[in-house]
Amino acid sequence: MMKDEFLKKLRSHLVKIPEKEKQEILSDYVEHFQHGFHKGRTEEEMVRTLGDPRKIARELIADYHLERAQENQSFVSLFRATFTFLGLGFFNLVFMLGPLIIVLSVIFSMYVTSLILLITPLFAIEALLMESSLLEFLLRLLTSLIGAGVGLLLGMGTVRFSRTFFGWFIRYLKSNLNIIKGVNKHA
Amino acid sequence: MNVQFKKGVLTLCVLVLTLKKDRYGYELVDHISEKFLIAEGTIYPILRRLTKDGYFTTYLSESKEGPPRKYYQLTEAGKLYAEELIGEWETFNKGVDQLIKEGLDHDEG
Repeated sequence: MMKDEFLKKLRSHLVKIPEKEKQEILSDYVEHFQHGFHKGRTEEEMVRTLGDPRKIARELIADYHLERAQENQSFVSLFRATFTFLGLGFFNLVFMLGPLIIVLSVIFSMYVTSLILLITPLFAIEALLMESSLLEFLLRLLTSLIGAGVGLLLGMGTVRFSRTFFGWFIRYLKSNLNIIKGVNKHA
Repeated sequence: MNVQFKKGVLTLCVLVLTLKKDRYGYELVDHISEKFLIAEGTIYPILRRLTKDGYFTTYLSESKEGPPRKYYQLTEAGKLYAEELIGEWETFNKGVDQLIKEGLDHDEG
């Protein structure tokens, strides 16, 4: 494989990465080749020592999704990063998939519950329309307002909880990039 | 060698090499690959990640001899991170050394 082929392969494997970032990445490798040539190295030898462009691309993609997840608090990116890391051979993450799915479903159901509670006052209005007594309506309104309050608190709590969880999980993924830490955790 | 382990070690290497002076990408690759065998292309993603995490700032510098160079300069956060990783490495290294010693002693005795 020659220089141009290496660069072409690297580019083609950098899927889902914005064009600007792709160019930044490729320019690092172009510079690498330039310096190597300057030192009198040959194209073939340089390509061989650079390593597999597919593996390099995967690593860059994993980092990209992680960064996305961090910036946008996007669960999709978090999943993508986790899976790309798995592809890189970070097999300890397999054990994290179960807990990750459970926590994400808990977060999701908490959001749904708080949303339902928030709209309960609407049902009280429905009671008024159904020709029930004023007392009954007020009673309903009162309980539903309490419900909405609880829903609001729950919603705020969930936002907080999911933020904390997000930060924690991203830190965990990042710590995987530095296994020395993992090795001597108990020390 | 285990991918994760190697990544951790390479991260430590680039941080340590930039402690005293700014260096450009090829220089870093060159220094590290002198010491042990690496896929040279894996250094650039590490440099990129460390830059995005705010441990490095970069600047481009033309040189009279040879192609332009993209230099990596450690930030304050980068220096702290380097120290943290050096500490971790030392603890780890000491442990392995002790185990090797114990293993060899056992063999001989």
